[in-house]
Amino acid sequence: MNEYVLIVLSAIFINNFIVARFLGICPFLGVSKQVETATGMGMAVTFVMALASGITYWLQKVLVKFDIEFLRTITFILVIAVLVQFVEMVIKKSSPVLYQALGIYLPLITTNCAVLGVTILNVDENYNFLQSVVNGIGGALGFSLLLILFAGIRERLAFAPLPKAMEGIPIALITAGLISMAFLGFSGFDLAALLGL
Amino acid sequence: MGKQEWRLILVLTVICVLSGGVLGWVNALTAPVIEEQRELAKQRALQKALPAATTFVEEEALPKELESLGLEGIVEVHRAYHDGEEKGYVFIVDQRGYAGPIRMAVGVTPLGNLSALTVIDQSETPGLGAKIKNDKFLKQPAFQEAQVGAELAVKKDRGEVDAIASATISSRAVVRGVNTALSAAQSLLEVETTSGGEGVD
Amino acid sequence: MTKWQIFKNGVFNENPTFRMVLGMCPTLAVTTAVVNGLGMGLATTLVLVGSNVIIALLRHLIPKEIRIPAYIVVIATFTTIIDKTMAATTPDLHGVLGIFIPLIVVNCIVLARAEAFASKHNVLDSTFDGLGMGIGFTLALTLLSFIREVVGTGTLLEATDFGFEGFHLFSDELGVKLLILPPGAFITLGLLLAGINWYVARKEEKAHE
Repeated sequence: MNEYVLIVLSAIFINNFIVARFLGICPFLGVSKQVETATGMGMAVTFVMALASGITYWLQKVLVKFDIEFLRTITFILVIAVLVQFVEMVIKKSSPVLYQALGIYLPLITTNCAVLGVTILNVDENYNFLQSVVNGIGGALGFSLLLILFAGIRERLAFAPLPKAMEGIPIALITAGLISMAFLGFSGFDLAALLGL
Repeated sequence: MGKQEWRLILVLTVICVLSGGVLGWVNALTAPVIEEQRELAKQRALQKALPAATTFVEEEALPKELESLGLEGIVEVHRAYHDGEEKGYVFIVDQRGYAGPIRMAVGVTPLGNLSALTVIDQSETPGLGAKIKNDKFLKQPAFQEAQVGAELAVKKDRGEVDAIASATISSRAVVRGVNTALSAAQSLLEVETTSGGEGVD
Repeated sequence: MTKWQIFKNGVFNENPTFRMVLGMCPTLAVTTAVVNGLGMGLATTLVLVGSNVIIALLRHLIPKEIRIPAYIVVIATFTTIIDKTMAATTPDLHGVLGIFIPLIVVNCIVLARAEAFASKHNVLDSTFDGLGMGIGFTLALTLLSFIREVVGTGTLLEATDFGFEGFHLFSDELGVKLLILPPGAFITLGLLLAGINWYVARKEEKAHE
């Protein structure tokens, strides 16, 4: 159990997808202007990343079995694209409320590098099935946490008097840099020792 | 399904098959070169870790045995020779660094002295943790004078190793790798002296 | 538009990093050293040109409904070719860039150019568009990594693949280490973008006068 807690905590705080690994920056800068939309995006990404981590684990097994690992990038990205479409269809049919909340973000997720990123990281780290899924969820939670935090800051930033050249993306990047500095403080923690592993 | 749908499926299938074919061909071309590069890099690392030796024989069963003794991260063990004479062992060890695993080769002489160490693979921050691969760090006296039985540590942990400024986690990982290799060498060298004694009987 | 205008458009007016703000993940992640930024930029350029050429060639054959998956397959193919070639020829650089090489496939710049340009123009124009965008991206990455490497470590052009230790400009103890770490990526790029916004606004103002 502790092992999974360790994976989740380090994916959120130490190797945060956005501020430490630089994965998923585009939606981070694009969809983080309001807390509400950021929350919707975060939920959609968490759902897809957990599913993608699980499916690509078995897919990688198949690729290794047939000795066609060179097709990894192409098969992973296609599976993610199909998965996103499928999730969109299922949510549309089963829960119109959820679809209204998440619908517009779903197509954007295919090109979110955090999703393809986590599936490749799982393979690189040699994670087993459960570890992969937990890493997917942890990574997505870290992504969502930052997205929502950042949206809260940007809602206020919109009213701040800024030099014209700093408005928009430049100040957003500098703010992200300051958050990243705060997260750097976590990197010194030896989580494994704290959890007694 | 109508004619239109079939056409869509057909086009997409053709594109996928073509790209699969191209990639298969590229893979057939590059895979042996990648393997060769990896082998070459390993040979260079082994040579660097134990310059006194010229041939290295991998002992495939040893990493598992050493792991059962509680030594974690040993990937390969190579017995080193020069003109048929034993020159010691080279251990290839993986340890977790700041950004990912660090793979290093550590050479130990038959007398239990550390010969040299080199970093094979790492993904630490360039300009900071990545400096673990520089000679300034790897050739410091604390490593060069290390012997079997010693337990090294960085100065921050009241040890003797000069860590790289602002990269304590990376430095600690290398020190852990050295300690693992030294303990492994200790158990192997002990085994050898006793079995050598039996041989005389 | 002439070929030169198409090329120049990618490098300056619609520079993918500084003007369009696309492909931010590799831009922030790999610009810790000039060699890494340059390598990432060139790898992306090759994928861009390759996929632009193929997509322009096939633009009348691919039905509209399946164009996005078809583009993704083409881009993923070129990405894998570059990935394998780099692993065989520049293993150290390949190791440092790591996960960001396969991730070229989801770099918004490549898909955006396929959709916005290559699907509507002929092969030659698309080649120049790919080259312009790629070189624009490469220049941006090189500039960013130049600042981070020099100010952060005091070294320039350290390249282990080519057995070159780099120029030591000043002692690394004087380097501003923050620039090499993740926060430095965000802050340096933010300031650079602000500087370019300011410059462009001033130029437009002068043009109006």
